[in-house]
Amino acid sequence: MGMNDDLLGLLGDQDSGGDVPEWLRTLRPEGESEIGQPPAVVESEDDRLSHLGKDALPDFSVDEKSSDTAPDRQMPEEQAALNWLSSLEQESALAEMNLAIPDFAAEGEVKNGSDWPSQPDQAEPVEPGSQGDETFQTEAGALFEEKPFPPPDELAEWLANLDDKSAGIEQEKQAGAFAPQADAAEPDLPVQAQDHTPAEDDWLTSLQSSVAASPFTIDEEPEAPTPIEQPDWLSRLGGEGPKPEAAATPDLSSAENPALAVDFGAEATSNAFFSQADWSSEVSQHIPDAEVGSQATPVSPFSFEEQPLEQAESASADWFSEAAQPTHQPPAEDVLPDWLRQAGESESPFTAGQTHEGASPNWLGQFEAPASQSEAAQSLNGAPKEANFAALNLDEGDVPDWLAKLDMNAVPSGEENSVPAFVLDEETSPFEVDENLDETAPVGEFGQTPDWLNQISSEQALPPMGEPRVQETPAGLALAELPRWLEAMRPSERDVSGVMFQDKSDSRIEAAGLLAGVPGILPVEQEAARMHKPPVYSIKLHVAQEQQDRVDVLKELLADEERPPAGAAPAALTTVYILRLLILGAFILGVIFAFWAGVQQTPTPGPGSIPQEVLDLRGVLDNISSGVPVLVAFDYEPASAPEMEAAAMGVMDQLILKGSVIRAVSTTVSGPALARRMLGQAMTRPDGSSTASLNMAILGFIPGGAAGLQAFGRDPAGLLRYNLESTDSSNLNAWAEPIFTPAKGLANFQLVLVITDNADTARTWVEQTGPQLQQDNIPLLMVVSAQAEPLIRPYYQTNPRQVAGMATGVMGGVFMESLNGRDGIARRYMDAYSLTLMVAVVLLVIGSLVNLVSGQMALNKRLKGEGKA
Amino acid sequence: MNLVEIADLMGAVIGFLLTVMVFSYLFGDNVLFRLAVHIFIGVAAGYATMIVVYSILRYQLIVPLLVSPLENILVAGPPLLLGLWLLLRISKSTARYATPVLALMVGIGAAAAVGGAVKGTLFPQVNAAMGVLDLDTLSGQTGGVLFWFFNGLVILVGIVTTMVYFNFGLRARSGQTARQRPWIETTGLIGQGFIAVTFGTLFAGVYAAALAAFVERSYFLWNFFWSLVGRFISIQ
Repeated sequence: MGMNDDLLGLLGDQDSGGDVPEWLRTLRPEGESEIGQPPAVVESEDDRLSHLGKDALPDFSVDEKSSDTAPDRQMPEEQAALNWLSSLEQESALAEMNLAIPDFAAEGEVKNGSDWPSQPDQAEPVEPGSQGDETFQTEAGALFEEKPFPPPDELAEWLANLDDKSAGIEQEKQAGAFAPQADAAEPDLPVQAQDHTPAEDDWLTSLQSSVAASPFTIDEEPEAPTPIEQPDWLSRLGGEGPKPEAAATPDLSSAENPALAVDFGAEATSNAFFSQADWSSEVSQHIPDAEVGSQATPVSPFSFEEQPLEQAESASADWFSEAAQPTHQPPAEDVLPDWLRQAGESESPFTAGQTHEGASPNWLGQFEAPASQSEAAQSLNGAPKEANFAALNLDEGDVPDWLAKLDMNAVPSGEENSVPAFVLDEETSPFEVDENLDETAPVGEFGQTPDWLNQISSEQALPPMGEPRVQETPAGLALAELPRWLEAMRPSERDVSGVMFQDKSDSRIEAAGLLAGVPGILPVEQEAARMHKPPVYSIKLHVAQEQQDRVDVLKELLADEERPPAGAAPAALTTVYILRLLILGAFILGVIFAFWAGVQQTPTPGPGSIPQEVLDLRGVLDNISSGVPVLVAFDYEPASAPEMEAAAMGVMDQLILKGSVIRAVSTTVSGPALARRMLGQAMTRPDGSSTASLNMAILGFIPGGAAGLQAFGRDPAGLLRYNLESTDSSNLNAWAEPIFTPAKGLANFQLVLVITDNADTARTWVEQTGPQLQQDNIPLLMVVSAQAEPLIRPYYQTNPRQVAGMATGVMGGVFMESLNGRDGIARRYMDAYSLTLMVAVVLLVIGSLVNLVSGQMALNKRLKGEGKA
Repeated sequence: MNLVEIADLMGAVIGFLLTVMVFSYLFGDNVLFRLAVHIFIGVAAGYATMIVVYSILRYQLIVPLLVSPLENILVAGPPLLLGLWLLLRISKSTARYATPVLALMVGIGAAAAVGGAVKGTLFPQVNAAMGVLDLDTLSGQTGGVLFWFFNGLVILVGIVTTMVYFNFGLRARSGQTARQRPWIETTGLIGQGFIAVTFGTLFAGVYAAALAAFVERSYFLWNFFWSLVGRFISIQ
């Protein structure tokens, strides 16, 4: 039996009956809070549901169960089924109904299941005019086609707001009100359950009880359609039509809202829809097994053969018991429109013909009273002819005109004209998804109706209101008259597909495994085989001009950092440059004068002017015996050679005169060469001839710094054994002479002379060899540079003296030569040295005075400037 | 002109040119100065290498092992082994394996330096500083008691004030900036004066040493010039 036919029959019957049934009171334009008294059918259904027990309630109804305290939650199902009409007028109802979108994936299954599972098995047809059919039409959008519309004068107010509300609905839809987002849907869940669960229950009830085949071909494809992909007809209705349609938009995107959505997978779906095992089994007890068995399989799209019904028992619906609870909100009849008042005075169509408590509709009475197999078969086959107001014993005088008109044009019901509520995949579903549907269809025009409804319209060719059309219909079915507003909602002819919801994105069928034969299975292997590296998307950064300018400036700064500085400007003839040349000229003139004059400008220092350290040095040299071993360390750099040679030449002359056996070592690499040079100069007489016999040996370089020097002090013969100056291979051993006893170490020497320009080197000699030398009473003499003398002098001034005597710089050589009575290099340099030294002193004094005067002048100038300021 | 005289002349010419090139620095950094510096560095490095090879490797390692291996193996063996081990630092990948040798060298060097400093410098110098006013040292002085006392007093004050100057300890007071104690700060100023005199002395010594080198080079140039003139005149 067609559900639309049922409703039309009901309306027509009500029109003829005259009295508006109580369920029609809910059609009044007031909001939900003003809905009238709960019809008796609710109570009867409550009774019907109460015996199911809460033990069989599914777990997923917790959300709905949690909202039991809300008064609206107790709304009778009949009232809720008709709330879509009242919501057309109430702004508040819009928002609430928007939240009541039946989510086919989750909430729709859960909440609606509270009603439709109460119906007999899906294969069992419902009697015409039953609540199930009516509610289904309401929620599925078919209501606009088959529901009689009040007269324009009565519905003017709420109908006028229809377009305005549709805009609001569209905004809410765009805001994601329809999307089952976890963050949005979860808070709204109680409201949704409170306000619209009965309505949703009704239409799903009708879904279950209407026909054997389901119009919803729900695929098990895990890629559940997103809210955007929801059935187009529902989207349009949700965006354009009143709120109930929008709220009833199924959302299959379980993946997006796992908390709310029930996965259409096998287990989830079985839990959601087939948790009715208990109740369905009870209901099915009244249905012949043969009939049930013949039609039970294709009943619901959510029914899967593999799904165990045992799960349904554990997931028995709490919402069953909740839905069965009577409402606590009495209707406010004072706000009912006239036509509804009249209708309300009449007997409810659901009460007509009731055999049980006078409140349950006929279809419900079938469940309450155990029916025989024949009755069940009759109910399964359906009797659409009874779906009219006349059958409901409605008084025509109490029925509004529009109801009466609709009743006159009641569409004859019949299975051949009915749209299957649920269609399996193999069947053609009116809810098959058409991917070609334009989601951006114009809203607010009610231009699109569900495909299944459109199919009905095209087949039945319902004439518009006021101009009824006669169309060939199956025998026994009367043509229905569509109101204009409902006609406007009809989908275009091209959209007629017969299947409203069917996922065609994947037509593959599992070929192996437990899921063999089931379409839409996740293609694990194939997808895995197609796995490839994700494409790399180039990110193009849009940079503003201002930002680009800043980047350029930064790049320029960085380039400047890496750029080498500009070369120094060519030397210009500046004051400093001139002054530098003048100083050089002064020194050169002093030197040239000293050399050119050829006379000793500076007197030779007398014995009284010779420093004590030089006298001590000379005294040590005088005290040593002739031909004794003397260790001489040439530890100075070539740059200091002129000074050191001038300072040490007098000492070397004295040693040569003594016939000392000289062993030369050095802690610097260039020391041996400098030693060779100095000894060569020392052996050269003033006339150019060289000393014939000089027992000397250059032992070489002492590596290791302080450690090497300490090792040399302990065992000099073991560390530096060979004479580097020897040209005879048989005379390499520098310690082969009888005067040396290698075991004695430094004690073999009578004197140790260190010639150095480095204070650290001198200190190292003192530190590493001093204790041993003091122990053996060996004097340590030093010839040091003028720059090292301040640091070496403390070793001379200690008591006992660590350095027995020392000569410093050119003047030390001059003193030594003076003591020796023979002029040498030092004396040669002395005039030039003294003269240039005086020039330097004068320049220093003049420069200091110039700087002092210039600084004072600058200071006075600044002070004057500040005084003027 | 014999070969020795030619060699001396060439050496004098090279020395003259190099000296002039170094003196050209008076006119600023130039190519001649850089060339002379680079020549000196290269010659010094080459000479140092040859000295090490000749003086150390040959005469302190190879020759002893060749002349009397059994006698010198215990002396030359460990240095040879450690020297070869130290060659691992040639490669970065094996440089870390030479760390023990380096550690041994550094440790021995540090131990020798510290031990020598303590025994050769610290203790003797502290002892000498404490004895500047020792009457036993008065007998050796030639300037009289007053000079001896004044000299010893200056040395003592200079040592104390200079060491006080290097005391950087501060005393913190609540609410005020931490600063040195007044007497430490004043004493430090006196020590700073002694330090300035010391640095002045060192600068004078450096100046004198540099001036001696300048005089020696000027004398060389003077003699070279007149030698060339004399040779030219003699040739004429």
